[in-house]
Amino acid sequence: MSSTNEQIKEEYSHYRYLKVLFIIGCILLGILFFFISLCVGTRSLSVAEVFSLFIDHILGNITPEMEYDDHIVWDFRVPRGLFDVIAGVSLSIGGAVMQSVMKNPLADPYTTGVSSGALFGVAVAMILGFNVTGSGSFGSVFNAILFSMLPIAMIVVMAPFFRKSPATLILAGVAVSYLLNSFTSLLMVSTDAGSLASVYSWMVGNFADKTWDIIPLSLTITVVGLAILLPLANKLNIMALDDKSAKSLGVNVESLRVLCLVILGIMTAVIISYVGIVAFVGLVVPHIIRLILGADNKYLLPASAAFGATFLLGCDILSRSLDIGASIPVGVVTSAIGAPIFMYLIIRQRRSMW
Amino acid sequence: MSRRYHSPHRSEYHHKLPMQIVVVTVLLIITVALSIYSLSVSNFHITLQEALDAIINRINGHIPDRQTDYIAWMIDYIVINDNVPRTIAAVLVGTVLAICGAVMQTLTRNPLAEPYTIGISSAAMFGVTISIALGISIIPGLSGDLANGINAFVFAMVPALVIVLITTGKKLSPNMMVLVGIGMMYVFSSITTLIKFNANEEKLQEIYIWGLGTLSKVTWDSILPLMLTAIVVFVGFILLSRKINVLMSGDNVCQSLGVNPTKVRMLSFAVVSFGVAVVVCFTGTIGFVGLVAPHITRLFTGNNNRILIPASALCGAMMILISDIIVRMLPGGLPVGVITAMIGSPMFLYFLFKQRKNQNF
Repeated sequence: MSSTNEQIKEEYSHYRYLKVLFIIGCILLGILFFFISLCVGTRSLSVAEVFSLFIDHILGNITPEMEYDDHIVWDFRVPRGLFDVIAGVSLSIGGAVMQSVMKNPLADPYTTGVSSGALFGVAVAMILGFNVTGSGSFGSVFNAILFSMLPIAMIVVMAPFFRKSPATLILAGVAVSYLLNSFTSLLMVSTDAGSLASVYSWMVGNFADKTWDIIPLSLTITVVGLAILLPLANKLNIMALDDKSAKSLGVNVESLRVLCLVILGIMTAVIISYVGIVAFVGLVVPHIIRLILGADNKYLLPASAAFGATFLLGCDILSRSLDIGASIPVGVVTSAIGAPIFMYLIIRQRRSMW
Repeated sequence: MSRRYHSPHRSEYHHKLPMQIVVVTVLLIITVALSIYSLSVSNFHITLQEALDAIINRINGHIPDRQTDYIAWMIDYIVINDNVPRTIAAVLVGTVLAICGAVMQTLTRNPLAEPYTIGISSAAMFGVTISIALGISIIPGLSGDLANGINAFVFAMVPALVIVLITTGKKLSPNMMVLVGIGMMYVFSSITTLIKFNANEEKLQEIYIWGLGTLSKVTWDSILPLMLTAIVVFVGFILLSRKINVLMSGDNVCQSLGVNPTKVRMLSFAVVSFGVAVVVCFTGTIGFVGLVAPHITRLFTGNNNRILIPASALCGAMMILISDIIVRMLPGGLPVGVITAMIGSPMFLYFLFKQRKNQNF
């Protein structure tokens, strides 16, 4: 009897060991990618140069002849790399939580309609020239944040009145996003081709020209979001049961669902407002992790976050370094690389994850 | 004997049936009334009487002469060449999209599924994008709307083919199908995005508008293929509806009841892909109806596919008809999908709000 107990314990620790190893591997790879991403760009710098610049900047030994390179690396590439990490973490963990909470493999961080709200805000700013904060370069960003809160506010307001089953919540989100999308389409078809193109280029996700001022808000919200979501992993696991069993185990399923929606909504809204809609990461990264590690949220959430950040960094590096005579948005690289991996994993999978 | 045996389920079934028949009848009456009204709607002031007269005259073989009676000729021209085909197309397109949506939702057991879920819309979009932006046509020598339509049709069939190929001989679970569909969607949409991102502004606008879907390109030539498709989809799924009902109870139960789940799924998929591909070819990707019409219907009829499928068809036809009527009343030729979503979403939210019983998914 005791021997089987030990055997089980051993198996379990082996099982944990592999998963923790995977997460640590992802984080290390992410750090490596971060430094590589500092070297990529129109002015090419070697890894050693960048590394010494980085150290010098922290120590404060910047000589006048180094200033130009320092400016490029520290003012543009570091915030861009950081933002890749923040966006990757936010979107992937958002997708993982959303899929668990909604019990639906089609759910992604945008399922609440946040992206449609943000898109509508940007379309209003760019096509009608109406900015909530008055004119200025940040007009469209603030519009995006404010309008993306619309669907979340609607869910919070309506939640007490209807059944909070996953299907109902998802469908409510879908209805709101269709409504907002129809307004956006109305603006898009009635405007000239130039404005349409500028809204479109925002829509496909754009990481270029990001500076330090986008970091503080997004970093704070992501860290707070992580601090709330990661400890919820056990409850999310219980929610995989049907609602009645989960309730009898002491989890308030319905309020937890609404809470998760609101937190994810805010996290995603901030990311979207700065860089637009980055496709694929939030939907597919959690699926890839689930195919590799299984559906246990205790490992799924941190692994999705780590892998998401690494994946987005890698794709951003590729989108900057590939030269095909045309500009490549990050969203294109993420799908072009991720989709075949995803298909391969699905085809060769044996176990059923859902 | 049968009198004495009163199963509670049986009596519930008999209790529900009249309600379902009422729902279908009401939907049918509304749809017919709307289609008749729709014959007279356009930017010009044509009364219903004038429109009906024009049609009756045509049937009797009287075509007004342009020289002698210009106004009658104009009414005849607008009604016969624009309103009538558009009305028929609206009904057919709504029918196909709503039925396909209902079937996809049942097959994948997923309320978010719609006719385009397995990647059909991104594939069609890819076909149109390469036609508009790069001038590539599947059948050489074509250009314009014809090339766009044919490209869309051919590519819309690709996801279904890929799913059939990679899953031959395997057990195909509903979620796996959905996930393969997502994979396909991203493969196509990444290339499309790249092309669109670098296309010039006018071409981007053209592609964007195509993606919203419109009935304004429909002519008499489109009616025959649409009609045949609608009949295939309608009859096919009415015949399959019992098996689809069995499928809802899970694959194992399904097998023990003598229905092969993978086979039913594959067959349904093939029909859905074909139906949607034909519709997309003539109208572009009209969203929303395929997702929402079945849900609205389900609130009234429940999940029994034998009722759900015909009722969804009517509901879809009604939604597209109403939207297209509004499109034709307003100036500017808006895409029909925009109006559908604008009217449909608040309605849908209201129904979700009112729904108390746990009967839908």
